[in-house]
Amino acid sequence: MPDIDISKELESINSREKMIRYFDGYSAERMEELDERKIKRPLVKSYMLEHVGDTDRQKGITELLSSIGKETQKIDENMYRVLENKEYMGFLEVLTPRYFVFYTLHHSEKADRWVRNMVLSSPDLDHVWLSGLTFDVLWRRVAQLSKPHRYVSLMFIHESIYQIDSEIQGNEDDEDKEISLSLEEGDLIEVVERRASKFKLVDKVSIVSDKLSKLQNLYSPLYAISQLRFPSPVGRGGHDFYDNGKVTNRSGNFRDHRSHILYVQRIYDELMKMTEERAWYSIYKEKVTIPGQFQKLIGSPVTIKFDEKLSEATFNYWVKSTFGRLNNRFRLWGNPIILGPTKIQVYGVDKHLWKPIFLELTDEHLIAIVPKGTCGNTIHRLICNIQRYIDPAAKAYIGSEEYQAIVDKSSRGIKYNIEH
Amino acid sequence: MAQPQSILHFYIYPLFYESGLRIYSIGPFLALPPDIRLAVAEKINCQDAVRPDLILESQRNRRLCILECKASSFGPESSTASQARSFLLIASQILSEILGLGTRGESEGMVCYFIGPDNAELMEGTLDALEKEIKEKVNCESGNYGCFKIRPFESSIILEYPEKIKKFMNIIKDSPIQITEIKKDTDPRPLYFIPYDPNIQQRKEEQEYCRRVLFERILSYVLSSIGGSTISRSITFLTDDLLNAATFGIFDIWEDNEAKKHIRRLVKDFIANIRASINEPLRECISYESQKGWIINLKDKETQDELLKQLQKFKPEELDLSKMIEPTLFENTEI
Repeated sequence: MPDIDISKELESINSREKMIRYFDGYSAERMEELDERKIKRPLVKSYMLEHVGDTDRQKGITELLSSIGKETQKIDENMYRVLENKEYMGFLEVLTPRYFVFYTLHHSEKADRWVRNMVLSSPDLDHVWLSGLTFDVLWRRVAQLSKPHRYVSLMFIHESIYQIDSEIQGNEDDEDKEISLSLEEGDLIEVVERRASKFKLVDKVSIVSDKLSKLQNLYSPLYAISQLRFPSPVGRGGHDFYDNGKVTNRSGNFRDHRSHILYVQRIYDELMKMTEERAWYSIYKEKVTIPGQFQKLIGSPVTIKFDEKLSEATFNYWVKSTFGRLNNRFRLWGNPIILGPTKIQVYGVDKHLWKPIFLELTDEHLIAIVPKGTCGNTIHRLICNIQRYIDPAAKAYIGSEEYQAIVDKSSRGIKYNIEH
Repeated sequence: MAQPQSILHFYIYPLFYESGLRIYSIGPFLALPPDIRLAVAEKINCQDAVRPDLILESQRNRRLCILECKASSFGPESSTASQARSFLLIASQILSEILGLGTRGESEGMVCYFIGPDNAELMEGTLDALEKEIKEKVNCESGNYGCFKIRPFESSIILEYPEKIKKFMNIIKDSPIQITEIKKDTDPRPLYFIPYDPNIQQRKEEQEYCRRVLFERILSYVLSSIGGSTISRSITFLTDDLLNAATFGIFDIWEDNEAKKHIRRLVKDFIANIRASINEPLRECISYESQKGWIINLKDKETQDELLKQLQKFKPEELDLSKMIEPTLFENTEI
């Protein structure tokens, strides 16, 4: 179906109730088509987005999107239609001043590109980043929530792009190739002689529960979970969460889809608060009576420890590809201070959000110092990228605490409310 | 060593953190109370106020460790000994009063010097002599004291400390302990929190390294501000803002005005170097006004993008990092 029709259909929806009803009915139709293996129109897709956490810098959604050339039309307090060049792209719901969800019916290719360009254009907007370590905890929640006979789907992607063979690739525009999963689309086929793992596992919850950790111990790319399906409690199918915050509705119920997004967003919000509370470095000034101000340094380093030591050639190529190019996959800038054959330090910038970040890279670890005000999202994106491109079995720590334990804590207090 | 890190995966063994020691204060200015100043006046050579590098506090009891790093030891007659006498006095019963934690005697203190391998015994001897002098000449009590000795051993760096330090600070490990590994041809230094302190005596290479870190951090702050800015507005940087951003706010609390002037000059020169590296006519969007500081005028998206592109190519390492910076007229006119 041509996109212009989607735009026209969206144009006619002028209230939240209509929007929910329309997306619900639309999802049910698509589910029937999926069952018949005759999908006629694109599935509902949602994109979880994050705005800055600093309340002084937070903008209203209209102001934020208009600064990057998008128009918004308010349909209720927190729901907006979004247009570009008079074309209706979808709906944007403001969950909190920091978190938004964009719902669309456009094809993946178009919607992925549109959302990616929107994030690239704005230093105040980023994807919600769900690393393999975060997915591992979310998978445990899926196992708790779902009946053992339900089917779960997991996607694993790891590509050791910095192994020396990849140097022959030459002039790639890395920034455009940042993590972005549109698995519905065909992939370019290339001949690679470096580790590149990408496969999907669909099986019963009980089977995956029993086997996954054993398989991960045998083959480390299985730690790099890049997509996870939450089975729908109201019917067949479920909700596919991708590592860049994209969620595809493969169920027949939009309200259930939205509820799952809210559940993951709450976990993510809690995780973000815990991350920033622990990791942000700043000088805390404490006033005492004599003789004036005392300064304490508060914060914790983020340590990502590689499971396998990198070869010197891989390390050098990683450094060269990241800091030798203005556009690079990690979207980092910095002038490396070389302290040894496999050790550099960088007092640089996270170019996603234009915030300072200090890094030490060696063949065994990455240490990040995140000054106060640098969004916690930077850390989650860094972990995603390390698992995807460097070491799928890398372990992360914030201070003395393992990152996965923090994710686990952040998910425990969140209630799983499904609206029906 | 006081930073929280996992004991399974660490780069520098978090000995202090694991022992329940936390950073209480960085570079605090500590003044002797009036009665002590009167008691010591003209009897011993000590400073009225001193600034140790760091104070650690024990989470388990009200004990504080005043830490001072020295590249080499010094004798009782040296000028540095006057600072040491003040540290010894401060670490006594008066410490809790000086830190504002309560009245005298509520906290116990210890002065600890971090020192290289060939100097620890000499340093202990100096501290013994100074304690004796304080007792004999002014009948004042000194606090506890001791030395942490840092030395390389094969492919590691070892920290040694006497039993009295271990007991006082409740350190969980026996001395000596390996705190980090040294890899072949690799500089073991960690990431710096405070990149540059002009008060510390450094070798030329060390000073160049520290200046480079300071400049890299200032450049990262400038880039972040430009990249994160909305269009059609100008950004203003006061030199002090840049320095505070690059030092986690420590610049504000340095009280050595001469050192602050020196470092401001360095930064102004650095920004002038950045400006000079920008191609015309883009360079005109960066200006300096004596009452305001550096102003960057981002009139449109193209200006922002091109400025970011050029700034990302700027390399502080290519500057003369040991350059002497002369004072300029009107250098104190920023508000």
